[in-house]
Amino acid sequence: MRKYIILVIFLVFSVVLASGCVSNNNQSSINKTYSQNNISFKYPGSWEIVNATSPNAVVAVADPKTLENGSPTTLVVIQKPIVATGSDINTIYSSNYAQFFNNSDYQRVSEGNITVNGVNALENIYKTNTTVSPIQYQAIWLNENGNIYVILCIAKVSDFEGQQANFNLILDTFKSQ
Amino acid sequence: MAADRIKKLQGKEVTEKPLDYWTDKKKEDEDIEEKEALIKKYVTTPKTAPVTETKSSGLSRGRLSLFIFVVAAFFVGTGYGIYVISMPSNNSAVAMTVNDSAFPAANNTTANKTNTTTTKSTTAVTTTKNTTPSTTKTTTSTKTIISNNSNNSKKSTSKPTTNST
Repeated sequence: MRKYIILVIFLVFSVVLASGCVSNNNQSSINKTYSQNNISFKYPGSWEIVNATSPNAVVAVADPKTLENGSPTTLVVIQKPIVATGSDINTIYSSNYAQFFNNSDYQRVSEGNITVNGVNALENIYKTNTTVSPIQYQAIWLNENGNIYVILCIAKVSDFEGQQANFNLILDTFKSQ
Repeated sequence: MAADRIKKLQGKEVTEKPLDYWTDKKKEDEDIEEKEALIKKYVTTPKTAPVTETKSSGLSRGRLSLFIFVVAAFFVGTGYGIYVISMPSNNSAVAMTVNDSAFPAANNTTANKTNTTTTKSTTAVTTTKNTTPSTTKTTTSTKTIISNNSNNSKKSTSKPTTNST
């Protein structure tokens, strides 16, 4: 009988330990899906939807582990500029950044045309001029089904490369309905 | 041997045993002694076995309590884990706020609306005199127009009053 009790205790501990490890890993590795406001995309399982007070923001997702003073440093904001239907994305893009970089807080890094999920898009990478913990921004402008969206990927310059896979997950799965 | 001598003295016949008999017998005795010596040397008799207590078929109280505790802890822990996993995360869209934007900061060019109030008062007095009968008609008309730049206009018109005497 004593052997049975020891065996039961051993089995219970094994199951608890194994299930704890397995479930924890799975929870953070499964990607989440956002599907509201006529858009859908996948984002990392450990990220959360956050309140976005940015103008014309549709949704924002962020890594809660990078929270500093109430705001995350690694996040993606999706914005939808209010423009007339059929507006040329190149014109809107150009006029936006002509005004945007009047602000000396930002410094251009690179600019170019890319393809996101089979859709031609405009990319603008810039960063803040601050010397302490500068932030890097990757703004992707794309026109899907006649709607212009801006996917703004943000992270500290030191973290940006490490977060690129998470940003790409959102970019590659982004769809406008 | 002694028995044989007695028998001889009594005159009875005594069967004489051959010498080999005695040598064999001696040998047998020696073998027996040797065997006994070997048995004494190598064979140990088991000690008196302790009286085996008849074990009770049930568990002792402590073990039963431990077993129940472990089983209860397993189910409570598993249940809590399932509850936590299935519970919707309440911390989303609450704790964190972001205000980063791809657009330039909006210019604060909010137009100050000026409210203009225009009041128009028109008073018309008409007096008609007749010899017989005499009738006096007084007509008063007041118009108040309140308007502002947002095209919201309010008009209030008081009905003309007629006094006849």
